[in-house]
Amino acid sequence: MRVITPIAKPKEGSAGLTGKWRIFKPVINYSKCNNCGLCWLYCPEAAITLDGKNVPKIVYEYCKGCGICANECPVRAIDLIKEE
Amino acid sequence: MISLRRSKVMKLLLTSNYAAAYGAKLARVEIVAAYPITPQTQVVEKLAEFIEGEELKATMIRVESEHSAMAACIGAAAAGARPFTATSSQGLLYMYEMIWWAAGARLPIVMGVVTRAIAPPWSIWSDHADILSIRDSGWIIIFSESAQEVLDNIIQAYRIAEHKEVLLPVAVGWDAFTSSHTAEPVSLPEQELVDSFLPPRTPEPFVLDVNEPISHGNLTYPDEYMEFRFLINEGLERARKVIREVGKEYGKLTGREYGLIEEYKCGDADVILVTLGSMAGDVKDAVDILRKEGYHAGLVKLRCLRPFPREALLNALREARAVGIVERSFSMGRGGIIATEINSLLRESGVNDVVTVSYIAGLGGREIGVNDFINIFKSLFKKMERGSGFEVVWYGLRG
Amino acid sequence: METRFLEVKWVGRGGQGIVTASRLLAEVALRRGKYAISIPMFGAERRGAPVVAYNRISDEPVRRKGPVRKADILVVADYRLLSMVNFFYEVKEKGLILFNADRVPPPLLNASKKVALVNATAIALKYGLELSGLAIVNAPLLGALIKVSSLAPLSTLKEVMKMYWGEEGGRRNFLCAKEAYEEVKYIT
Ligand code: SF4
Ligand code: SF4
Repeated sequence: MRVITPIAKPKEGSAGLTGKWRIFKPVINYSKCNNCGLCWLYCPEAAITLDGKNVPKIVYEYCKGCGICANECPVRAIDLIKEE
Repeated sequence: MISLRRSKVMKLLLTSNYAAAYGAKLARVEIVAAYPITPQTQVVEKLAEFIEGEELKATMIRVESEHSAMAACIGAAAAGARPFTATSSQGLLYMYEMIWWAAGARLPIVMGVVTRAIAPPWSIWSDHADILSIRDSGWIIIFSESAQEVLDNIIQAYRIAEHKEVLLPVAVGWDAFTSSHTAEPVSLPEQELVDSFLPPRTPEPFVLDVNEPISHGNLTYPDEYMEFRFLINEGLERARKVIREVGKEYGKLTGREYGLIEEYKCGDADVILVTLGSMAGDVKDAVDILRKEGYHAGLVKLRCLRPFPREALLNALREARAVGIVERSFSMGRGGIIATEINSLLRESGVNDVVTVSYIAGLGGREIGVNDFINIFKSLFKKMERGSGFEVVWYGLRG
Repeated sequence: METRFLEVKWVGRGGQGIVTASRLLAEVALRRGKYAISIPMFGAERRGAPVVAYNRISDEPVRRKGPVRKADILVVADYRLLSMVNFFYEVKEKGLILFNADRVPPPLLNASKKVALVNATAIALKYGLELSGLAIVNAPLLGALIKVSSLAPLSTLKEVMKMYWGEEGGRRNFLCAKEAYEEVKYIT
């Protein structure tokens, strides 16, 4: 069917390749991560996926580097590293 | 916030939004009531700065919505003050009930409208659907091409609105981003000059006064309502002359004269484009380029949308063989809003040997520039051979 | 550069000061008796997101407000944006690309256009012009730009920077601009 009204699906990449906006790159330190899933919940670009065991993974093509995940992580398991 | 101090340079570099704030300040507005919306926000920010810095003696009324912003302006105007507001798009729609109230109550309010698309689809960019939604309300509608015109139009708007033969609110429009955020050199008239042109408002005998209480906007019965509506239209019809006189007088003071329309190289033009707002500048460049190639092209820029400049348009367009109306607006199920009006003006005036084409372009900020206008002109030079007819073209529509 | 009608396109990221740069350039031109406009393009107004702004500078009043399709000078404020700019198409035949980088970006090596290079990031960082990890490169780029365009002497830029950023801010930004003015060099 032809889409006659603007619709957006909640998925990564709805704002384009936002990975190019990044100045700081969030990197998960898996030895600290307790798999709470908060980063996944808060990421505004839906750029974090969780697997069956709640292990988060950041999709860097779409992660825009806003740092919200790092800010929300209760155990400070996400570091922000300056992009090259 | 950058404060643009006056320097040795004659002209200030201002966006249309800042030019509007300077215009309202020079007009010595007494009440500012507005609610922020992209892309209007800086108009009110700048006015707040002026008030805070005591450069402008006015009261800023903080309101919770555009509906209340206009309501506050209505109250202020009804009490004899000089109010100013500005809005855009969704904000103007939210204000809509009060828009009609302002005109019906014959209140000299001036409002800046940063013309922006209406959602959905959500868009913050340029489009004229918002300002044209108030077309039939009794407001005077004036459009600006540049930041200079925004400033000049706002100052003149108070003279027009407060004129005893008119007493109607005036909306001054300018394009979202293309004008609102584009910085251009603007000449600021001296305050004394503006004061001599625009003295303080002399309120009518029927303004609200605690010492002699009256009420406004009362119930009218069917044998009275029509007459009041008729009077609104009379005020608008008379405004045509007032707008021209005020524009002339302003020209004498500043060297920048204004009319109901601006004609650019129309004298011998076979094809004339009619447009409004920031697009007019690009059309002027297109006209010059085409004239060098031997095409007799011209532009009519609509400054005044309401009252409709009937005679001025007819004079400018009657000899043309093709007229293209390029507008950022559309009446769903009909055609370009301005185009259908101009087409019917021509036909009802007995001008039949002309091709009129309604170009719908630039909606929601779609890019349109000199090259597009050259294309449009060239296709009109072909269409003109048809001799007569009306057509609607969505320019640049993707499949 | 002897252009009666000069069109400049600025490409950068939200936070680098691109819109302000375009505004200041217009201000500089105005002070040199030119007519100038500054047109920012608004999209996602977010830090890091691509930002574009234009200038039109002329001896005559500028009427057109549509975006600049082909620029006389294209200023690229960020190396990583290179892939997003079609500099062959967006720069006029005799146009110039002013590039912020410490070395010649390979795709520009065999460009048929003139390319000028300035390490605006290094200069900005040297004078502490940085906000949340992003170097504010507008001042050095402006310095380099008025050099390659011969639009105005440094003193005019100094005046404008003072007007916008006050005594201290103006001074610091001007030092950046001056250094870039001296360091910018043509590589093709
Ligand atoms: S920084 Fe974190 S929250 Fe922000 S986009 Fe990237 S993954 Fe999502
Ligand atoms: S918020 Fe922190 S702890 Fe929770 S899943 Fe994400 S990285 Fe792991």
